[in-house]
Amino acid sequence: MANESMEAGCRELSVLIVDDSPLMRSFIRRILTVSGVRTKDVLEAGDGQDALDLMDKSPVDLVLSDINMPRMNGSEMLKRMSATPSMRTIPVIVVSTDATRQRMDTMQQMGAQGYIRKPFQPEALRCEIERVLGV
Amino acid sequence: MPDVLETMFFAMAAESEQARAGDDALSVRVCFRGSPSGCFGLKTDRSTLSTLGAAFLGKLSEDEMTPAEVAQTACELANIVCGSVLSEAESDSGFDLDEPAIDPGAPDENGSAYSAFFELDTGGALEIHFRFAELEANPS
Repeated sequence: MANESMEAGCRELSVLIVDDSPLMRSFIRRILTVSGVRTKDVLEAGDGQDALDLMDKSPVDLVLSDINMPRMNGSEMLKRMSATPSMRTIPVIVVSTDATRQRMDTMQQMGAQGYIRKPFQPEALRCEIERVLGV
Repeated sequence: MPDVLETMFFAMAAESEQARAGDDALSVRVCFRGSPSGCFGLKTDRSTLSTLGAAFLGKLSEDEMTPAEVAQTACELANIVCGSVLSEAESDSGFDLDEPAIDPGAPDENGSAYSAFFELDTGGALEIHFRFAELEANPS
């Protein structure tokens, strides 16, 4: 039923996965497919700077981002997105092992609209995407 | 720990004092900064990592796992387990995790403040170890 509502109520999304682990990027990409999220494109970036470069070239509908990454972490990426008019409204869901209240509050204050704690069930990712996008 | 394996790697783990990783095991170190700071070690057999990685990536067989993917599985597993345990322990304050690294010198049961040993239903054993210490500020 939830799958049907996602497929019926949501346009095809361009999703950007930002994580320094290629394994985790592959996992999230697979989970997007099996959980029924309709995607037009799934882009991948290994850190915040790569993500900003990609978003500068290709518009995306949703960002799923880790926090701890080399070169540019998720916090700095959120800060730069907030300061960039073309990126300010792109919803970001943080996907992190750090589920401490302090971190969740900080990321929310920096502009993250959703938060998923690893480990997570596939349904949890779909539900959070639906909540953030208002599907 | 068992919920991490069950949720994302589709394996069941049971704590066992006798469980130990074998001679071909990979060890991963993840250092963390917070309150407290220290380093985490995870040690498990390559064959176990192949099985867990294949499940994680949705591969049909562990034979499809490359050596690089086996090493990445060890690092990702260590990252999630370490972060999960610290989130439980530090429910109000945040922490920073360093990038996981394959390291034969990662914390083991000698000198660790906390160790736990698990048997997996997919076969093999997995060890986790926490060592607490003041760490230098992360340059990043």
